[in-house]
Amino acid sequence: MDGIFHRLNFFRIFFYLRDLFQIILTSFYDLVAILVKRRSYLPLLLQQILSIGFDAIPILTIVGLLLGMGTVAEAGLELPKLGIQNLVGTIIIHIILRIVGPFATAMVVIARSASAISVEIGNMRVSGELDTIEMLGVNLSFFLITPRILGVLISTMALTFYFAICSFTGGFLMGLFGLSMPMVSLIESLKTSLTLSDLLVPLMDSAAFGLIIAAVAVYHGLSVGQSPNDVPRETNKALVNAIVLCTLILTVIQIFLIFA
Amino acid sequence: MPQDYLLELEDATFLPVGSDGPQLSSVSLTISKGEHTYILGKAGTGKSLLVKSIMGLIPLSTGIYTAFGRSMKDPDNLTLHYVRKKIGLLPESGILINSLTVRENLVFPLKYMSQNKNERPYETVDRILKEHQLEKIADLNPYQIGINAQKSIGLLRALLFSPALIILDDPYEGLDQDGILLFHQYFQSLLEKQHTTILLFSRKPISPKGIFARYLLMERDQTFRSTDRNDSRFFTLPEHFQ
Repeated sequence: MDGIFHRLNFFRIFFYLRDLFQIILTSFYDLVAILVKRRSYLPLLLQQILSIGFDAIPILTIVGLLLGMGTVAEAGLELPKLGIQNLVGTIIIHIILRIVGPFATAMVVIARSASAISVEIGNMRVSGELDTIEMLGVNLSFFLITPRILGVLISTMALTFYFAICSFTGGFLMGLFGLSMPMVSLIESLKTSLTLSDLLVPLMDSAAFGLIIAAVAVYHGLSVGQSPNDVPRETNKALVNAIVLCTLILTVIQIFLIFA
Repeated sequence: MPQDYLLELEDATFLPVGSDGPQLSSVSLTISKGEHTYILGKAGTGKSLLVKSIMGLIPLSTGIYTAFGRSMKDPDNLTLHYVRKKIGLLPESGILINSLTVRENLVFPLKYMSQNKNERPYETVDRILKEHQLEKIADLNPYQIGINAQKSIGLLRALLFSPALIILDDPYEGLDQDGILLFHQYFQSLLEKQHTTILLFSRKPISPKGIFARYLLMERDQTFRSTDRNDSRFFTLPEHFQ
């Protein structure tokens, strides 16, 4: 019981969230400084966006195609039984674009990039490289943290829309070849269902996911002490906390949208 | 403070932020310009901690610490930048950044620290690598080269800005005889330039002839005892090794 109460110490959770916000705010502040007077750091931002975003494309393509196929197959088989087959487009948009797309993308980014960032920074702490960078007079936030926060943020937002495109492609393929659904009616159904909020909500979701994933990964990477054993432990914490916080954000946003 | 003091620590205590780890207390030490100093201390005496404290990584809690005429009590970013640029550092661990190649490790401070916009970091670094016949390893990562080469690159990086003071934290650790000889050659060339003062921390009593003017023994309570090079704890290398 003590262990449960220790883990649910709300002060610890509050301070943890405060530290994450501090990392995010500092990164935005430092981004302005980089853009205004330290442009030599700009290539690092681009490098992170490329390594986090482009490298995730193959896995995201496969997951997106399969998820789109599965969703349309399920909707195409079950909805006609209820007599609401005309809602296929609306349901696909709501499920893929607004909920599953951003969340699935966030899970892929967590699995690939959050772990990589946490391990990279953790190993740099253990080997003493972080101290060396600081003692050389190079700003740790400019060099290491801000590029990663921005890299994950921009990549997650771009990958969410890429995931949606892959899912729709998978859904079309399934509708066309698996369920023999008329292509024109499916496109028409999507066109009539698509609203501006269907584009803004995933944008908002993915931005929130990107920021929180990056902040959690950086926080746990920096939390590594002198022992190499801290690296897997902190990485494990980073992955679990990132998943929990993303789920929480998704729920809060959905509840907010219901009442708004 | 006299003008020729590069560093002055008086009864200085350094406490790591939010940590109950080791601390340095009541350190008193002065480093004057041109007075090359060799500090010998056993493992656990706090040499690396003192180096980190001098570099402003561990904050000063009580006492006085002045570097290049500037107080290091709660220093702002400008002061830290000024002091760190004046000091060339060869750290004990994490000498080079493993994700960067040797060339990029040398370019790193020039690119991210230098205020000189006309400087061409890659050209400067390629010239240095050629001078020291290290072009062959320029595109290798640190884990692909030996410790001698890693420390040499670390030393060259420390000398990039022609610092007023160079701090070497356990430079002999892991070096073979060739490495030690190479380091002594570097020290000799520094001596000829007469611009950079050497502050060397080591647990190995390997003192080259005619370079260090001052020998100190660091004790576990962070006090320093002055001694001379004839002290049996410092030994001179065989002639062929000098």
